[in-house]
Amino acid sequence: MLVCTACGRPSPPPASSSSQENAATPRHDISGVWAGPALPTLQEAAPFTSAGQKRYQANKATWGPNAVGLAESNDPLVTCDPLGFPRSALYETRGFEFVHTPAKTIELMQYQRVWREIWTDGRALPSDVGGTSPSSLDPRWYGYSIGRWADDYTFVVETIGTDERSWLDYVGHPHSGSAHFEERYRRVDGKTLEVTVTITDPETYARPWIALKQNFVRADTQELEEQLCVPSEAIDYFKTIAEPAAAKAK
Amino acid sequence: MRRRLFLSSLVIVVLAMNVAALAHHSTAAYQTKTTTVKSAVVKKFAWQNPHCILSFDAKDARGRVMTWSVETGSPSAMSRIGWNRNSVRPGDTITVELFPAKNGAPVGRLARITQADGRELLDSLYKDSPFDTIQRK
Repeated sequence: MLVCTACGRPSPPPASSSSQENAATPRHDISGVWAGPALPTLQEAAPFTSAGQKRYQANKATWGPNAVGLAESNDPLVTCDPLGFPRSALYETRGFEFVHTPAKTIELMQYQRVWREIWTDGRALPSDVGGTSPSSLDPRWYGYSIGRWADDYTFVVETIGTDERSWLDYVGHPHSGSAHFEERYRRVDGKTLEVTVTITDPETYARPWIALKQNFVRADTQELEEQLCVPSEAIDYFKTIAEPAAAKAK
Repeated sequence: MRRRLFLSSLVIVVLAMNVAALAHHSTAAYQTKTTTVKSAVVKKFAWQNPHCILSFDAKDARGRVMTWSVETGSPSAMSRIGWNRNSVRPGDTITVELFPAKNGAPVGRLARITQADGRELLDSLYKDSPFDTIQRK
């Protein structure tokens, strides 16, 4: 067998799998590490507006119906740009963790080892992001987020003010700077978290649409791994692998 | 004309898996059938993101030495399944099974290696299931 059982890392404390699996689902609690796929399953076909369709066609993704080779792609990931939100929820979701504090919930993401702050202290979302007023807030890669409990087991996050340079997902869906995103984290049971991401962006999509509905598995003893996009290494990868693989055959 | 990938000791097999199934990057540039290269001499194993790169020399059908570079999973994915930066070293003679590029360039995606003592190491395409982080305990 080739499976590494220790891998040179600190061993997790022994856990009773039966007690873990049968644990009662706690109320108002999605804390802990959750594990899922690198490429979560995308849901509905996007209901593009004409402007949205145009932007989508300009995005040369390496996945999806119009996939190109990595060397021909303009995916922001190619240059190690931040994934941004909501792509951080729609791509490379092998591991993430929530930490609840009195005023906010923090999401720690394995990929790129970045985090989001989701305010739960009752504040509203900012009313002016990206405007021209001196008091306008600037768009951010991960936007501005607030969270609340819709019921005992469902945590709802709203996010606005995201940087429109980021893609929604790995097939290149775009979004505008005025998009509104809703994430619903529902604890199905003690070890399963259902995540639903709905996008409302009238500039880009004709109606709100669900981009993601994916279950994640609790992984309490899982260490979030160091999974980084390192520019110097990415350049080497391009020269050594991606460009030769994309070259036209002679 | 770019040299075709036929090597003196080449064997082609079909693997019952989708090379693109679990990759971080698309693998559309690669064939879906693997090629096996025997007597490959490791030049370098770059333990780096987004994908490790194994470079090795092997003779083609005419006896000329070609240098190949094949990508593997990321260091984090590979470390979960028993690899580390010293799993192969320059000078090692190994057998390499890989998905070659469609365009004939001597690059590809690793499938597995077999070391001189017979030990095999699979690429994370085979082992990096979405939830293996839990199963490995």
